[in-house]
Amino acid sequence: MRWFTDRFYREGAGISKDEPKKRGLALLWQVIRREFWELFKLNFFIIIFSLPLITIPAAYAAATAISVKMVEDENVYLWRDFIDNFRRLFWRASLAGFGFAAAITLGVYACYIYAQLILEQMIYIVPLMLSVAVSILITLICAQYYVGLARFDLSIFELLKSSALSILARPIPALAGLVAVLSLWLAHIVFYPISIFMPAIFLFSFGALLMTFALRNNTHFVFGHSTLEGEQRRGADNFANVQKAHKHKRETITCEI
Amino acid sequence: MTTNSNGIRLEKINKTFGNLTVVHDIDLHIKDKEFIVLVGPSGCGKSTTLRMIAGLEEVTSGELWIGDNYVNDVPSKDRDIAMVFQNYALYPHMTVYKNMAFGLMLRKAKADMIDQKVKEAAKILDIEHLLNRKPKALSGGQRQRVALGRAMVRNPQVFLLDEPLSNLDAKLRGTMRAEITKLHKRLDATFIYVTHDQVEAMTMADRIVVMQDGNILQVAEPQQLYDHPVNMFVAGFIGAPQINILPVIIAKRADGYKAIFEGLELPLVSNSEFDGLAEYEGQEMMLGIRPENIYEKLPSEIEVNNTVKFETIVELAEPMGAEIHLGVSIDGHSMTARVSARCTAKDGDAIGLYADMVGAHLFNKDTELTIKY
Repeated sequence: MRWFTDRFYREGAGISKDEPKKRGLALLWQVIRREFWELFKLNFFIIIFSLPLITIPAAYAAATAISVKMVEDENVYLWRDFIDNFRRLFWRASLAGFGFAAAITLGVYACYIYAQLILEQMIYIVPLMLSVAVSILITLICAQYYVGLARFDLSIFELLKSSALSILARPIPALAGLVAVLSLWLAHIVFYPISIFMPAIFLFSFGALLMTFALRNNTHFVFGHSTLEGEQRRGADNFANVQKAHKHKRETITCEI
Repeated sequence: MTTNSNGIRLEKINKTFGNLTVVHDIDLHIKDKEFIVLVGPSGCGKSTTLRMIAGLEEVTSGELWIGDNYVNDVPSKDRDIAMVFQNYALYPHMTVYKNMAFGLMLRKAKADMIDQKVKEAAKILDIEHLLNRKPKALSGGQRQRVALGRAMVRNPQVFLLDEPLSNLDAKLRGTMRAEITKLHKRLDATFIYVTHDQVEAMTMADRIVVMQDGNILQVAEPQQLYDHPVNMFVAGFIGAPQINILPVIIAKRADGYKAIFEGLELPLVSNSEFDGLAEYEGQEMMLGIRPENIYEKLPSEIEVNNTVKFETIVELAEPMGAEIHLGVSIDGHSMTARVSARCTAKDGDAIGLYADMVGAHLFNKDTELTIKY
């Protein structure tokens, strides 16, 4: 037991305030290391809360909200935050979620149909490619929607619009995230039955984290604008003040020049 | 529960463990918003006293009052106090944020309020960048800040600090000492601080409580304690290097009382009208001279009549940078002098040292109590 005590109480090297922030994959690795056990627990929550099936979108939205906090290095109270976000995002997550599910299902079905038609006429490769592209695009918009939903208090329409813009403007990080998530699932399939417990242990929470990580900068990119519009409409002073400050700063700079 | 203007009162407090009494009948009144330091050697009962105030130890007998409330039987959680321990006592499996928020969570505080308090405390302690880290990654100083933060978020009326800086290195201890003093001023709460380090006690305290063997020897402001110790132990405990104690015999001469030490006549410069030495004439006493009152060369502002010159042999010269601590012997008696860094004396050198007798203390040889003269 002494070994455990010593291990727990041994002083660390300390963390400098000026330590440069990690970026890219180094940051992802840092987040995964730091939140390792929390991710396991989160996966468990996702599964439990998804059991009624109809709650899958809200459970995923709650998991994404937790992932956002993890990526942004904020404190997470897993149970409390999960429940809060599950309740808070339920309707917007569910309504959009079912819409996305229908659209993706339709896209995949179209792919299946066109893939079969190719055997008869090669010309169908064009609509097939189009269907594949649209399906992927909808999937990415869907992922972006949930990250946006977790971060910004916007209406479904605003979120959809911003998500679509965001993915069209910066598709590469989103694609990279999707590839990473698909790779995990592929590994699960390839190594089955050794990997039989992967989904039960971490696949869902890691998936949510990977997508959130990949899309975190997209949200800043487009959603900031939408949020500004939304907040202004709601008469919030903060953003107006920020704008005023920016305007004032610009005027000051102009005067100085 | 608040301390209000009545502060904290310990009345005839005793603590026994089986047959062993570790705190004897102590009386102490800690004023509201005061920074009081309990100081003394290991095993003197200072930590036990603190733990009794905290409610972590039962009071065997006596009365403990916090404000207007008799708290002998009040559980720790209801005393509106927060304690910081020497080993930090952070939960290793929790992040800094959760460590700080834990007390408030147990009290079922609202999440927003917890978040606000934790972030405020983190800002004050400059640990905002550590909030989502686990104690494993933190250095000793950072851990101690977290422990302080954990106490701060509760916004208690009384902070109890049990040797909080003992595990830190000397440099960090100095920094944290200043931080805690600033924190006391900023928080405007009562601080009770336990330490065996007299430098900490002198630099931080509004008042110091010197304890020995479960008894309170003296309660006074730092300078008062240094200038007017009540006995030889207090005189020896406060001040570094330690006060020099020489056996002397009191003799009366035409120009006043003298302390005779190895044939030398040391003038006893009275600082009061009280002719208290008459009854001690011819008796053996102990004379205390602080190392900083011993000079290699007499400064011009010191009156020569109040000094005595010792012929000494240097046993050990310890350069401290700004000064040198000279360990010298006078006819087999050891003494320490704090002399200028320019002193060139080396081990084994014969050297004449001047002692200014104005700040000297006289102690009864048997009772060790200070004699006013």
